[in-house]
Amino acid sequence: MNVELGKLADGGLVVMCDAPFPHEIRRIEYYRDQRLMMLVYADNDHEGDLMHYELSGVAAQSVETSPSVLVVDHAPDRKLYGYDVPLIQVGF
Amino acid sequence: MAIDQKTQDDQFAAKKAADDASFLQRRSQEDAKFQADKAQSEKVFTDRKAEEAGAPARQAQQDAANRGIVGGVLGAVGVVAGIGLMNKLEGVIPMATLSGAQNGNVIQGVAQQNGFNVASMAAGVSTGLQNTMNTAMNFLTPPKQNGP
Repeated sequence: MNVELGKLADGGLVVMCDAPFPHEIRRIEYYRDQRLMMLVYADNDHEGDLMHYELSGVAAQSVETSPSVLVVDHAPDRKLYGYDVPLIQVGF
Repeated sequence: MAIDQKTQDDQFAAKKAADDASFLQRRSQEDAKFQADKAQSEKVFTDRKAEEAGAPARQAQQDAANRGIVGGVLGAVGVVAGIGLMNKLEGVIPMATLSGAQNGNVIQGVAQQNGFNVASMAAGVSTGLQNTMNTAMNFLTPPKQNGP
């Protein structure tokens, strides 16, 4: 699963994947001390996926000031759709 | 007479030593109390900052609960699709790889398949060189990886 973070023209953030997410995303948690994001799914058996890479300083700054993220669910065989999920800041 | 003077000197020295010891003990106690009060004040300050920092997350949970999501479990809001989503995504700037391949092609690939445009580096330069440089560096410099 290849996942990227982007910045929208209106200043918001977007998380996009080149395949469908395994489950609907309930929220995204951002661990400030590690600069890592975690996708938390609406599924009890698969709680979430911790993203592999630390954010750079600029990306971290955008994430730390954003209250939500637009998640775009992409699959080649169906229409693109997106939904906003809360971005929860964890740590100081 | 000389013996009396020596006795007086001895008594004076003994009294001075006792006073000094008493003074040092009192100062030591006051220092300890000051340090304890300072630690307590700092703890109150730290607790208050922690309380303030946690407030937005609690508010988000409360908002979610108010929207009818039982137990304040946060969930998706505001689904967008079609032209509304395309307009929102138009001009998106890739910022960072979160997981998987670090080629910076995920957003570009989705854009090509769905018909919206990704902001080019040239467009980024016009909005701010520093941001553009950092955005570029984010893909050029391999970020630290979590785990083996």
